[in-house]
Amino acid sequence: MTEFPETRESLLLQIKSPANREAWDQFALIYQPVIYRLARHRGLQDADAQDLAQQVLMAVASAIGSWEKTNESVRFRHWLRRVARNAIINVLSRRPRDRGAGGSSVQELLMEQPLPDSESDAQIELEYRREIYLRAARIVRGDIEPDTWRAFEITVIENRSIDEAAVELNKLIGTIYAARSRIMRRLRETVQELEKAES
Amino acid sequence: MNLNVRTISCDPDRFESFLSGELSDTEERELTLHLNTCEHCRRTLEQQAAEPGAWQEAENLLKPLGFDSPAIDENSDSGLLKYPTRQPLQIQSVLDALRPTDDPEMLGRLGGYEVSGVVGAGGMGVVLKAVDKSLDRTVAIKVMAPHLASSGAARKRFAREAKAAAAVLHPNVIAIHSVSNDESLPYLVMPYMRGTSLQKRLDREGPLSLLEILRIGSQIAAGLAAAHAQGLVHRDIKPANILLEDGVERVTITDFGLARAVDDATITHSGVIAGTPQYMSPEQARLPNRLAVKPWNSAATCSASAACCTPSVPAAHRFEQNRRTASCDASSTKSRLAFANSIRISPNGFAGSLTG
Ligand SMILES: [Zn+2]
Repeated sequence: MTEFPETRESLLLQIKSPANREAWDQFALIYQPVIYRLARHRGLQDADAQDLAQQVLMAVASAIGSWEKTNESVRFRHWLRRVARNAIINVLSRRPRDRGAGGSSVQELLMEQPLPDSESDAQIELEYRREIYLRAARIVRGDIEPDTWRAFEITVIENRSIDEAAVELNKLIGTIYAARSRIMRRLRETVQELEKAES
Repeated sequence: MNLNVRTISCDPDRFESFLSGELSDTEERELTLHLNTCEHCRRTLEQQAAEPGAWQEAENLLKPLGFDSPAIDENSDSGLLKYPTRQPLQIQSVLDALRPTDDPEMLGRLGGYEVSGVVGAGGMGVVLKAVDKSLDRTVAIKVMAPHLASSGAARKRFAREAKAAAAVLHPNVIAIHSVSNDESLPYLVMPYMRGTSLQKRLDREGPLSLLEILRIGSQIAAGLAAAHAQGLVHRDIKPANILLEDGVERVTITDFGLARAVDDATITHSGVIAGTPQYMSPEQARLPNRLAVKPWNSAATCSASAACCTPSVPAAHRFEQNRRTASCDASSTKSRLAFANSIRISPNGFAGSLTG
């Protein structure tokens, strides 16, 4: 895998506007795991999936400079998502052998206009949505008691019974109902906030 | 539904205040007690918390995928961002639990250790890189995941791992410097080794040469033999648990999290599959009832060590981790074949040590 140690900094420096830098950070934070999971779903190993996420983000980052010069009319976030979508579909549609080589120019991922691919679009959308949920879960979990979160985790995420949760956590059944409802509400609110921030 | 209870205190008006955390402690307690018996209010509260689609979506999207926590390798080139990339919840919660440190280079403090980074994350916990200030040496600290630390059974298992691994003093078995089980998060301290796991090596460089199979396999066998001499069976031998040190030709077995004493019979009838399906021994996986498991014995562990070195276990199968039965099938056909092949190409002595 080609490394780009010295380009890394300069790529980031290319983003001049502070608002855009922040948008980029948010974007990369969300898309890195999204691309990683998409790659794992397609059968790539951990290390290769990480490399691939890196490669796509590199490609997108390398195009930012030109966007800032010419394209101020399109919202930066939307532009990022569109470029990323194309790069993801391009990289995933390569045959595994070509992917492994990796050394090919990151620019190639941006040059090709992929064919419409509704299946990939749906997968990207799903993984994006999953990332929003995971982030929301981390936020909600951060400011509640561990047992309260466990009540939600056991009964909703693990889809086990209320009774099991009550026994495992040594709590009243009513407490489990109360806890999981309140977390569900907070989770939904947090998801909505994150979605709004990203749109 | 208990009509009495309902007429006394069914009060859906309180739900909205409760959901946004505006009820007093007493009111919350009352509501909780009411929910303990009133089926009607449970349903109403849940509907008010979020529409059924949101509950379903939360379940679908937050369910573990089996590969959602890429191990964080500080030497990897994933440092595109100046900030840490998204960390799995588990890592974040361990980092949050560290005590503050004065050293700006460090992430936090745990006992007498200054934590400088995250080496990886696994099922049981998170491995941190840290400095032992008193001895001025770098160590790896395995910290139990906070969501497990509240479970007595998990703490016991963690303590068992520490005890098991500490009992074996052998160059091919990870040493245990110390153990802490009293703090809110139990942890064990091991030497920090520069190197890579056999899994990563296989992923990146493909099959091992015969010479390497012999070199690595014989060291795994020696380490396991030392463990067996202490009455221990590792039960989870797989490439991810084999460390290859940089620069030295030394192999170290890690993660005694599933180890059991040889004479410990509790697992025999429990119906719980121990170990990682792809690397279970053929005799362990090939059973009339796939969920019934024979106890690990030394032969089973040793054949797992052979499977470790023969990367003929197709990559595709590693993605079937959540499909136990599929994996067990693969183990009983393809990896058995791989195992048989490894024996055929091996000198007798080596094959003997693996199957013995
Ligand atoms: Zn009621």
